[in-house]
Amino acid sequence: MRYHFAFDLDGTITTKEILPILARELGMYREMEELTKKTMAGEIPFDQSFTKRVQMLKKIPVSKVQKIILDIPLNKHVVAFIKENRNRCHIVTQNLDVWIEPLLMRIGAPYLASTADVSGDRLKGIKKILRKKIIHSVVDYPIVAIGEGFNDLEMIVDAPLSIAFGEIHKPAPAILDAVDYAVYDAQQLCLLLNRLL
Amino acid sequence: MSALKSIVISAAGSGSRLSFGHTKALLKIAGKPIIIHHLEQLKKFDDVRIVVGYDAENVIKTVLEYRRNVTFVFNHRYQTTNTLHSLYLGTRFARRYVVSIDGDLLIKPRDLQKFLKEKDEAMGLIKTYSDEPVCVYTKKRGKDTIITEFTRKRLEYEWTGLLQVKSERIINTGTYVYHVVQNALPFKAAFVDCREVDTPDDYQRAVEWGLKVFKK
Repeated sequence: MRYHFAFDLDGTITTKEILPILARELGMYREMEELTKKTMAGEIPFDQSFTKRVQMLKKIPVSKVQKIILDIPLNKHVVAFIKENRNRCHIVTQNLDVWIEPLLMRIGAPYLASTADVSGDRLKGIKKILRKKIIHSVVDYPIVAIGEGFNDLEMIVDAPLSIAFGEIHKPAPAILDAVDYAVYDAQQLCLLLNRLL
Repeated sequence: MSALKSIVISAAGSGSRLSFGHTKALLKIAGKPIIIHHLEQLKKFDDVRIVVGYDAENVIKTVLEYRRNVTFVFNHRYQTTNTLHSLYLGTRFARRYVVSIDGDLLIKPRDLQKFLKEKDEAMGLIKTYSDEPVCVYTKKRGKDTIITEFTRKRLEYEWTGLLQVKSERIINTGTYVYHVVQNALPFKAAFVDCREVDTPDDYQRAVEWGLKVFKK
C-alpha cells in the first residue's frame, strides 16, 4: 500500500498556533488564544469561530501577516520528512491561502487551504472555508492523516490510517477516540511515518 | 540491535478480574506502575509501541511523565478483542522482529535484558504456576532448549506471554497469540522469572515478589 500523508498545519508543522500570534499585532493575543483553544477542543463550532477570528485580524495588511507567519518557528523534523517525501505529502489547513502561501511555498508541498477575498493588500473576507475531508477525494491514494485539533476529525475519521500528534498541543479527546496512533514527540512521529512509507 | 526490533507492550485490557479501576499495566509494584518497570528496561529501544484501549488517557499520561519517545497504538475494540488483536495492531508497520510484552507481566529485569538480546525467534518460559496455563513440549538441541508444541495440558513449563517473533507472522485470525505462533515452531526457549497479575491473589504475590526483585 502506497500511502500519502496529510498534515495539519497549525501545531503540527508550526510549533505555535498561527492566529494568536497574528493577534499579538493588535494586542489581542490572550483573547485570540482563548478562542483558538476552545475551538481546537471542539467546544465552539469551527466555522463560526474562524469567521470571527478572521474578522478580528483583517485589519492587518496581508503582506504583514505573511511576514509574521514566515517567522513562526517550524517543527524541523516534520518539515524535513515533508521535504524528503514531497511527492507524497499534503498540507491540509483551514487557514487562509493568501496568508500562508509564502510559508507553504517555502516548505514546497502541495496544499489545501481556505480561500480568501482580497483587494490589493487588504483582506475583505473569507471566500470559502476548506472542508478537510476533501483531501480523500483530491488524492487518489490512501491517506495517513496527521493532526490534533477537533477540526482534523473529519479528515481523520475517513482516513485508513491516522495519527494524533501531541507534541505541541494535547490532542482533542474526540481525536484520541478515532486515531490509530498517538505520538507526542516529533522524532517519534517521523520514525513512525518512515515505517509507513 | 534496536534497529532490527520493535517492542510492543499490550496494555489495552481492563483489570476486571482484579476489580481494579485502571488497566493492569498501571498497578503499582515496588512503588512504580508495571509499565514503568517495563520502560526502565527498554531505554535502548527507539521503537517502543504501547497498545492502549481501556483507560487509555491514564496510561498515556503515566507513560509520558516518564518517557516521550513512544508510540501509542489504539485498540478501540479492546472490550471485544484479546491480546492477539492488540499485538496485531502494535505489529503493523513494525521492524523485522517484534518483542511482545504483556502489560500485566512483571519480569525480573536481568531476565528481560537477556531476552532482549535474543537474535532470533524465542519465547519466555517459566515452571508452570498459573491457574490456566498454556504449556509447552520442549526438547534439547545442542545447548539450547527448543519449544516444539503448545498444549493446554499441565506440563512442567508454561509460556509466559513473552515472545520475540518475526513481525510478518502476526496475522489477525481472531484467536490467540499461541495459535498464530504454533505454525512457526520450533522456537528457542528462554527461561525467565516473572509474575503475571490476573487475580487479587496474584497481585498480593506479585507485590511481595516485586519488593525483592525490584529493590535497588
